[in-house]
Amino acid sequence: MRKFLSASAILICLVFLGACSTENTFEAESAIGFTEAETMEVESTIGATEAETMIVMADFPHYNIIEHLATNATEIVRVEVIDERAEKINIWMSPANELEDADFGTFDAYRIFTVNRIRVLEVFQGDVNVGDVLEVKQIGGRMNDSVVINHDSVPLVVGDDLVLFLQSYDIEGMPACLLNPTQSAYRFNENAAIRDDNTELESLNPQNDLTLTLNDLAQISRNNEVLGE
Amino acid sequence: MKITKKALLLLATIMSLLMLSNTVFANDIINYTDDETTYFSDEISYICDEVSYAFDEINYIDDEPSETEFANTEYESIVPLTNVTITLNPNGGSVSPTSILRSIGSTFGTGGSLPTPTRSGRVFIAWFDTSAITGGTRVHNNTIVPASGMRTLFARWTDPVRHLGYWWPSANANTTNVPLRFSPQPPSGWQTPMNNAMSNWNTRDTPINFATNSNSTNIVSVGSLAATWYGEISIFYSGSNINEFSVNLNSRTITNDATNLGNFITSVFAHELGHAIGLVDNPVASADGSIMNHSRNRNTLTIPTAYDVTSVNILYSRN
Repeated sequence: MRKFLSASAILICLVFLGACSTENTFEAESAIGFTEAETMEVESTIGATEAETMIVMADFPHYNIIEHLATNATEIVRVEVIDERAEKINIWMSPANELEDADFGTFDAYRIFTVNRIRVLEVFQGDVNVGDVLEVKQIGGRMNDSVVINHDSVPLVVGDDLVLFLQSYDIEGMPACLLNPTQSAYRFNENAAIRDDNTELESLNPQNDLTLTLNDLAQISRNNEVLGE
Repeated sequence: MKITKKALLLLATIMSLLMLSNTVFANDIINYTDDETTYFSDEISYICDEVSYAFDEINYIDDEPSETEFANTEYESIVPLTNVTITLNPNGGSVSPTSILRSIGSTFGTGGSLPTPTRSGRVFIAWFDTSAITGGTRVHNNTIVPASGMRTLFARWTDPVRHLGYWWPSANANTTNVPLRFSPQPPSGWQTPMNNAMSNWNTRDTPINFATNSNSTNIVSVGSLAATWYGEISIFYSGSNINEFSVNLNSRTITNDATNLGNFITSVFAHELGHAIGLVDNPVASADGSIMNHSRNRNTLTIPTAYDVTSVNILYSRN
């Protein structure tokens, strides 16, 4: 009898263990499935977050020589960078003619820009004076939860002494633009005060294929004096 | 110096003529100053040198070098060598032909454009005078063949995957449909060149197919903007997928700078569409070597180039 009970107990235990084992396997499979589902949800969440990031690129004019760059600039100035902010700006302009005309009823012309205030130190071209404070905008920046990435913009660091080729607009409060982010910003090195005519200014963008010298700037000034600016 | 009988006979003849000449000269210089006499002496010396030179020449002819000696003799051509062979080194790729004949002073493109080599998984940038991956001088069809150097041109290659790291997911490996919607409708005269930009991509051998769709959230617009760019695109992405984009063409700058307005519009829109499918700006290619190059001539370059096509196909895994 004792042997029978022992055998029965062992048999019951084996059956129980077997049943548990089968159930565990089922739970484990379910758990794997559940884990995968959770992972997908996490990925979706990450995706939703990343979807808030926007990258922006633009097709800018390229100039073959400094003279062309100068011709297209409304202002060529040596400046000191005062500060920086991000701002959402409506850049729509009244079309000059029917070729530019379109129905802007639903057109969103707001863009996030990084805006720098700059103080004019020297004027080579344009209707501005030494001491004037101008604003320059470059597309891209961070505002609240919106991040607009622009790999092409050049950083205008507060305190920098720069020579900029600008295009300004006849719109109240509209910041000017660099002619392009590659060829329009140069570091003015005051230490090279000898002012050798052929002293080259360092471009802020290493991809710049133009060389700007102090002689170029002097020539631009002379040309504008002749033109009576 | 070896003197042969023939040479001695010729020498005697020359010397006789020379003595006769000297007699005439001597009579003529009786009244000359010392300086002029010196000059005359120099002349005589020069004539003697000439005789000596002629003597050497005679000896050389008489000796008649053997075939081996002739073959080993180095001669300086008195006629300028104008034709040179340019070897084309595909630098890991393949090219045909592997050499071309060009004239010094003409351009490398004279007689036929430089061939475009191919290399699996890479994009040809240009021919250079060095095999290095940077530096050297780029050789164009209009580069002048110099008197020396540039006898071997090396193909320079680049990683073709010049892209954002984001692309459109595709349900079909052979076709990636990219819908878009014009909103608002472009100004009069702009729609056709913008449609051409889409066609120019669609007819190239890539999986990309742009098509208008009134329900698309990818918006294309045209506007007069207080910005210096010709075109601009904003792309929303998540992970490696492009989710949505909006393109704007700046009618103000395009109208101001275009000499061929239709082509200019097509070029700018094709450039932005390149961004829309994941390409980035391409300053590496030659000016007109890529629709993604800012220095391209927008009045003429309206079709995505072989460089662009290869880049897209690698991005979308067809190569």
